[in-house]
Amino acid sequence: MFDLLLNGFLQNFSPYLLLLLLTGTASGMAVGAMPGLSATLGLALLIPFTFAMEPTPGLVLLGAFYMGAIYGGSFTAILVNTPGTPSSIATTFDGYPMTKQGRSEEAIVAATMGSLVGGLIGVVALVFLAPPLADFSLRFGPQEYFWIAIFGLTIIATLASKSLLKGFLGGALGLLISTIGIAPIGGDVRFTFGTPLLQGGVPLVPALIGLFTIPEVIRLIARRGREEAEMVTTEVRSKGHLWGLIRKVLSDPVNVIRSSVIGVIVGILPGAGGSVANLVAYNEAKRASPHPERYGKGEVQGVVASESANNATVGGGMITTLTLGVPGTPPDAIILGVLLLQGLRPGAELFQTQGKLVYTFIFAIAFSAVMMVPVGLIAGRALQRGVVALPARYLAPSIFVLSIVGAYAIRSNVTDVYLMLLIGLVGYLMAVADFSPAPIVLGLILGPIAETGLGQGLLTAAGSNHPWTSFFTRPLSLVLIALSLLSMLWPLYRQLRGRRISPAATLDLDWPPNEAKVD
Amino acid sequence: MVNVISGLAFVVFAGVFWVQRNYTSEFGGLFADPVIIVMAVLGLVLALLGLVQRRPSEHKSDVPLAGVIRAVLLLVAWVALLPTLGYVVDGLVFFVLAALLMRDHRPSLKGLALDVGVSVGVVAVLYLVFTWVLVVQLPEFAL
Repeated sequence: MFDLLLNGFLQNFSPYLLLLLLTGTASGMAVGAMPGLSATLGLALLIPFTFAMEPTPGLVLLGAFYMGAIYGGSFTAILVNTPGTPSSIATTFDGYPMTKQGRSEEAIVAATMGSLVGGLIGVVALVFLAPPLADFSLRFGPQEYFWIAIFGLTIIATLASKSLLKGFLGGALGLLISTIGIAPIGGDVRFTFGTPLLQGGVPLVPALIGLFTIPEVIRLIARRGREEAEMVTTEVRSKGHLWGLIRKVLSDPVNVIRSSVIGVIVGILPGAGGSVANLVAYNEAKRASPHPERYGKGEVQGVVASESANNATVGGGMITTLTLGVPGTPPDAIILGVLLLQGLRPGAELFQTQGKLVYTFIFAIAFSAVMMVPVGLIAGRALQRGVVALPARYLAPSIFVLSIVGAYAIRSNVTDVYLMLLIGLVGYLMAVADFSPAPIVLGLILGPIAETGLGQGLLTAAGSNHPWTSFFTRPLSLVLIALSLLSMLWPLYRQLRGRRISPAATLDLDWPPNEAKVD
Repeated sequence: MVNVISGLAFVVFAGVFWVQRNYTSEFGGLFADPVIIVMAVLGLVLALLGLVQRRPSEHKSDVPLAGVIRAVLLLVAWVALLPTLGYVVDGLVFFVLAALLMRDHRPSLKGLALDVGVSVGVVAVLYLVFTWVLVVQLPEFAL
C-alpha cells in the first residue's frame, strides 16, 4: 500500500496533472461562489470534458473542481450573505456579520484555513479509515436515517436557543414546504395548489437565495445610502496582517478538528453531505464554545467550523463511493457515474486493480485542498476588497442581479425566480417578526430525509405486528434518539444554568435571532 | 402584537395545507399531517403567548416602511418584467433605477453616467459568464 501511496503522491507532480488541478480548483471556486450553481451542477457540466480524457486526469479534474466548489461557496456567504452552495449556509451566520464589522478579510482567511484543514482531514480519513467506516455505515437502515434527520432538526434548539418556539415554527415551516410535490414514498402529488411546476417540489437553491438574500436587498434599498454607514468600509487590520489572521483563526485547533471529523462522518452517510455537515458542525462549535453568545454576531470560529466540515465531506463522501459504490453526497454520485462511464467498478477490486488511479485521485483531492490556499487568499481577498469598496447603491442591485441568475439557472425557469422573490418577501416579513431563516432551511433540507426514512422504515418492518416499534428497538436508533434528546436538552440546561448564575436574566420570547441582532 | 399576528398566520398557513390534503396512498400524509398539526399547535401557542406577554415597545424597526414598500415594488416589477424584457435589458433598467432610488440627493449627469456604467458592467459580466462560459440560457428579450 505504501508503494501505491507514494506513486499516487508523485503522479500529481506531473505538469499535466498540476495544470488540471489548478484549473479544476480555480474553476470550482468560481462556480461555487455563484449562488445557484452548486458543486453538483458544476460537476455535471464538467462530465462531457472528461469523456475525452483518460480516467486518471478526468478524475483528478473532477476531484479538484469538487473541492474548489465547496470552498468557493463561502465567498458570497461571507461577503453578501448569500451561500454560494447549500454547504455554506452556516458560514453566513457569522461570516456576513464579520463583513458588516469590517472583518471580512479575517472571515475569508478563516474559511480558507478551515477548508484546508477540513479537506486534508477528509483525505486522511479516506486513506486510512475507508474500509472500517464503510462497513459501519452499512448497518444504517431507514430507521437510522429518520433519526439522523431528527437529530439534525434538534440543531434548531441551538440556532434559536432563546426563542425555541419561533425556531421550531420555522423548522416546521421548512418541513412542510419540503413536502410540496411528489411524495418520496407512495408517489402522492401533494400541496401543489394546481400548479404543475410545483410537482417537482420547491427547489432548495431559489428558496435559499430567497431566504438569505432578498431580505438583505430589501433592507439595503429601503435604507438608501444610510446602510453604507453601517457597513464598515474600513477593514480592521492588525500588525503582521495575514500571519496574524491565520494564527488567530487556527487558535482553536479542537474546533477545526472536531468540525472536520463531523464533516467526514456526515460525508460517509449517504444522502447527507456538506449541506448538513456545516450546520451540524456549527451547532457543535457553538455548543462547545465557552462563549456561545458570540455566535451569530461575527464569531470567527463559526466560519471555521462550517467551512472545515463542508470540505471534510469531500473525502468522507468518497469513502463509501469508492469502496461500496454508495455515493455519500450528490457530487459523489456524479463522480461515481464518471467512474462507471470509464468502465471502473467501485469496491475492493478497484483498489486492487486500479490502485495507482485511486491513490492519484485521492492525493489530487489533497493537492487541490492545498492549492485552495494561495488561489483563495489571492482571489478571495481581492473579491472581498471589491465588495467592501462597493457603495451600497451598487451592492444591492448587484446582489439581486446575481440572485436572479442563481434562481433561474437551476431549471431555466422564470417560475423559480418568482418563487425566490415570494419566499424572500415571506422571509423579510418573518425577519421583521424575529424569525431566523436558518431553521426553515434546516427543515427544507432534512424533511425529505426524514420522510423517506419514516416511510421506508415502516415498509421494511411491515411484517411485524407493530412496525412503529422498529424505530425504537434498534441499537443504533436508540443511540441516535439519545443524541437527539441530549442535543435538545443541552441548550435548555445551559439556559437554566445561566439563569441560576444570573437571576435577572429572563427567558425572552421575542429574543431577536442572530441576523436581526447584527442589524 | 407581532407574535399574535405571526402565530395566527402560521395557523392559517397550516389550515391552507390541511384543506389541500388529497392523498392516494397511506404514505402521503404519514409525515406531512403530523407536521401540519405541530405547526398549527405551535402557531396557536405563539399567538396565545403573544397575547399574554404583550409589550408596548416591541419591534421598533429602523427600516422605514415607505422604503420597504418602494424596495418591494421595485423588486416585484424587476422580476415581473423579466420574461418580457429579458435578463439584459431588465437588469440594466432596474439596476439603474435601484441605484438612483438609493441616492440621497438628485444625481449629477456624471453620477448618472456612473450608475449606468456600473450597471452595464455588472449585468454584462454576469450575462457573459453564465451564457458563454457556463452555457446557462438566460431569459431573452421577447418584445
